[in-house]
Amino acid sequence: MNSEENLLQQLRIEHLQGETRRHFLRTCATGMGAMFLGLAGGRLFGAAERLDFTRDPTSPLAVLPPQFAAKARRVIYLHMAGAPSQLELFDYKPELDKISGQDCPQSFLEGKRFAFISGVPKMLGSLFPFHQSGKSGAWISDRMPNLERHIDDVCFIKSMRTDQFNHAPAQLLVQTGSPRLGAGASLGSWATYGLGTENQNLPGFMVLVSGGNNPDGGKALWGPGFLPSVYQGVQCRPKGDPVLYLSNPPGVSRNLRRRVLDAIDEINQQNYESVGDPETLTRVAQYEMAFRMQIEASEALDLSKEPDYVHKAYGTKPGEECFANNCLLARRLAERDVRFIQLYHWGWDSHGASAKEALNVGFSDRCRETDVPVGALLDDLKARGLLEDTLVVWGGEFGRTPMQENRGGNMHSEFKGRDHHPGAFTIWMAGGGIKPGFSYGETDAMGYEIVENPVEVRDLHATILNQLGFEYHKLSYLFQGLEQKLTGVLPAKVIRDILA
Amino acid sequence: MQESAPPARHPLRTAVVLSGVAAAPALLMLTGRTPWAWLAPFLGRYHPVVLHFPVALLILAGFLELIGVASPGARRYPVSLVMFFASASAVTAMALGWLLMHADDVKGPLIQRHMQGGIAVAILSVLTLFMCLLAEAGAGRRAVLWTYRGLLIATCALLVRTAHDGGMVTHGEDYLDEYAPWHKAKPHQAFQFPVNKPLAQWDIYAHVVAPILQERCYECHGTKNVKGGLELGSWAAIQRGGKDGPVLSAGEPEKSLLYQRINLPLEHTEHMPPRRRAQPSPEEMALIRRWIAIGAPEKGTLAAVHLDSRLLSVVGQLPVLLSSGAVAPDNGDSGEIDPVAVAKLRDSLAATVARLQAKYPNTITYESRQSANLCLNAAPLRRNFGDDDMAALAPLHDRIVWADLSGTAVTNRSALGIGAMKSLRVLKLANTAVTDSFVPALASLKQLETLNIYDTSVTPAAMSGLERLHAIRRIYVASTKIPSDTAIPESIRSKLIFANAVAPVLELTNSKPQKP
Repeated sequence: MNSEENLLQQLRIEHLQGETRRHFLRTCATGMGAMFLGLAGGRLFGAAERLDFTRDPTSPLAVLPPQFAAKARRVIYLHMAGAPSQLELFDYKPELDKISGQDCPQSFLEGKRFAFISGVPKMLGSLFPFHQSGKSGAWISDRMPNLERHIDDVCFIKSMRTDQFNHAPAQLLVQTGSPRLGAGASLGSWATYGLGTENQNLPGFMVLVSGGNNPDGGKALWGPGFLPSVYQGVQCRPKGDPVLYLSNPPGVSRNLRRRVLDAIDEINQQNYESVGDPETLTRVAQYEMAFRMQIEASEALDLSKEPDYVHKAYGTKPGEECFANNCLLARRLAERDVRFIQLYHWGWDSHGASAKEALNVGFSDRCRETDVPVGALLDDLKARGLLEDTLVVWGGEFGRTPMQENRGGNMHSEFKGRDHHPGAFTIWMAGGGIKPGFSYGETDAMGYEIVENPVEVRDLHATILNQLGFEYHKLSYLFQGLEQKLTGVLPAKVIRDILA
Repeated sequence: MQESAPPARHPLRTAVVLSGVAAAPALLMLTGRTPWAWLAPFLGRYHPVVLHFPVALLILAGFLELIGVASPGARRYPVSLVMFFASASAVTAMALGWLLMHADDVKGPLIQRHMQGGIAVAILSVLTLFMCLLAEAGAGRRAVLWTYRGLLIATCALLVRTAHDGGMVTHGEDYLDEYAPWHKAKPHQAFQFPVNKPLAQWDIYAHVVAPILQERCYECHGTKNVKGGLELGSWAAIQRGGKDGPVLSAGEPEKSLLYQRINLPLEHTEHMPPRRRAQPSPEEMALIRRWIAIGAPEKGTLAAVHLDSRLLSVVGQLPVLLSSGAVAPDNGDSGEIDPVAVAKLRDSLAATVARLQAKYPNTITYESRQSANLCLNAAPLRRNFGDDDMAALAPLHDRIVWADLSGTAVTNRSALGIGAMKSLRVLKLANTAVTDSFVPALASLKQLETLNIYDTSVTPAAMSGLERLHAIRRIYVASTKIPSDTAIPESIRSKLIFANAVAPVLELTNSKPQKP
């Protein structure tokens, strides 16, 4: 055994001695080639140069210019969690009304999976009457009379589609570009990572939740994903401190707070000098921003500063967590140059399983809760000149089926509802360089499949980023060996037809 | 004096040799009729090489003589030897310059002055050499010595002027002090843009092509400096063409030298304007192309050519381009912007921008990564930003295209400063103390598209002053003293945006759904 090992060792040594310098270099050459390709080859073969987003670690939210001149300087995103029915609001289908109550044709069911529908469901026409409105002649139901006042300011996309038919992954896809938890950075995180924020006394990305429930996707919807944590959305609360732990605890004055922070900063600085982790500087920056926010955030989120007629116009309910308050807050934050303002409303999941979830009951309530404040918000943004550089986006995470949901086989329930439908839904956008009074895309006569200009979620994202001044594939972050992008790895397209 | 002995002994022979060199170009001019026709232009190209010798040597001779005057007891340097090579090279440079001028067909007063100066320097330097030799040979009268020194001073002085003229011929008139703090872009020939007329009524030559040519080509093909025999200063001159013949082939841009040369790749040796110079934008090239395509007429309006909105907007910006020297702002999505021109523009103000960005962090930013234009957002600074801060930004005024001063402490005192922001497209003054007397200063903002005076105390009286803003599209006047039924000119009235007067609908008309 021992002699065998010796023999092998000797053989190896002799083999190595036989290696001449020439052999060595020849082997190296291959490696050098690979190294060259890895380093310079990418550029040589046309890989585009990456944009530089590095900042001083003590000011991670410092403003950076967009790639090209931006049409929108900020975004207000109104997410209607639960997925509102496009067939009761914007997508007028008279043919569907005619066959309402008939059995669904087999061809609609073949090869499809539904969240709840089983067997052969009945078709369901729109529960509410439609009419044409405005100079654009867009069709709209009677549920949103105040949005209708702005019908010539908004642009409908009636051909949105997604590949997710459950709320949490679908919401994650719409908000972060990925249906998987934590696998994508949210829209607002990307915006603040790419552009920073001009108002250094407020977070660049603020989140306002209403409707009595967090969206199914949870707080990952405004999470930073792989981006540095400083870019995550800051959630505001309706009562108490608008931002958690913002005000000083009892007995602590602003002066004392300052001195505490100075001491902490010094320790952090020492830690940074010995360890050199830039996250330490980020932490220092966060403390400092929180200190600046103590004054400005409380002021910005204080609705009592608004006159009565404004409260009346929005229909606010002071002290409550409601969408109207949040719309007014959104306007106040937009005025203060917050880069991304994310609103969530909740309760649009109209399956028809209960009054709250019924198209003919709860759905109307949701419309009432949101329509007046959205109308007031658009009024306000327009009059103050904010709408021309603020992009407003309204939408859910998917659409609803033209078939009635027959949960438990109960077709004759007093509550009407529709199932989840990823194949087609409607969203609208306004301001921020989007063509006003325009409709894009078309669904078939039943509102079931898209027949013209389908828009994937990543196309919507690419369009939003374009309005913020970026080509979607240029706003990227190196993580796990990939150039991570909001739109993922599949090619996306900017919907040029809806740009003003 | 051993080194300079040979010329010193034969001052006359030296002068004869040099005169022979001087006569050489005249002989070479005759080569035009010999098989050696290539010789004259070939040698002419060596003018820029040889000319450095007389420049350096004459000045060296001057210095050596100065040392001699300053310390008479010290060892004397062989000035005559230096002078010999100086005058020999001066004569050679003059001769080669003559050949170059004729080969490249350069014309204009500048080159005339340079030529006369060159000849004078050559003659003077030979004379100086002659007197120098006399002085050194011991004809040592003070009169001879001081005549020689006087001549040397005169030669050097003339040399500096001539060399400078030559430099201007090659590099352009403001090459030396282009980056100097006192440098001002030379005033352009005042173009009378019919800014009150719609763009369609502008003359395609007088108001579009001529300004572009002036901006991009005049330096070398103007009336002062006429390289290649080509003058582009007037329609008639363009028709004459240059040494390579006509530059226009009416209706055929691809066959017109004028368009061919600017359309060559930048690296091409024949590309115009030369690589180091500011280049015309793609839109400017497109405008020249259109003009040639419709036959390069002297008269005729833009209505005759179908320009898309992008080209029209470039035309609309020509008056600004020519008044401030700034590149026209770009609204494009991406690409089609000349990064070299942008980098040059950015560099010229980089230090100032950096200083003011450090003073006002996150307030002044470039409009985009592809632009040298600036955006000013002082709104987050609230009342901490006021008139003095506006004044501090003065060096950046003509670069600012977007300014948000909403809620700041800016008052009427900043009116003039804002009036100086000639490139401004968006101006937000909401919730500030500005009043009617602020408004007249805005009349100079010919690019202004959006004006926001929401929640200010501006009254209808100020509105008529805005009629001259022909680019204006939106004026936000809600919460001002301007009522929606105010009597003001319709041209402005249609741009005013008031608060929405339609009352919100608070109850759904039909809370019961229709029967499905």
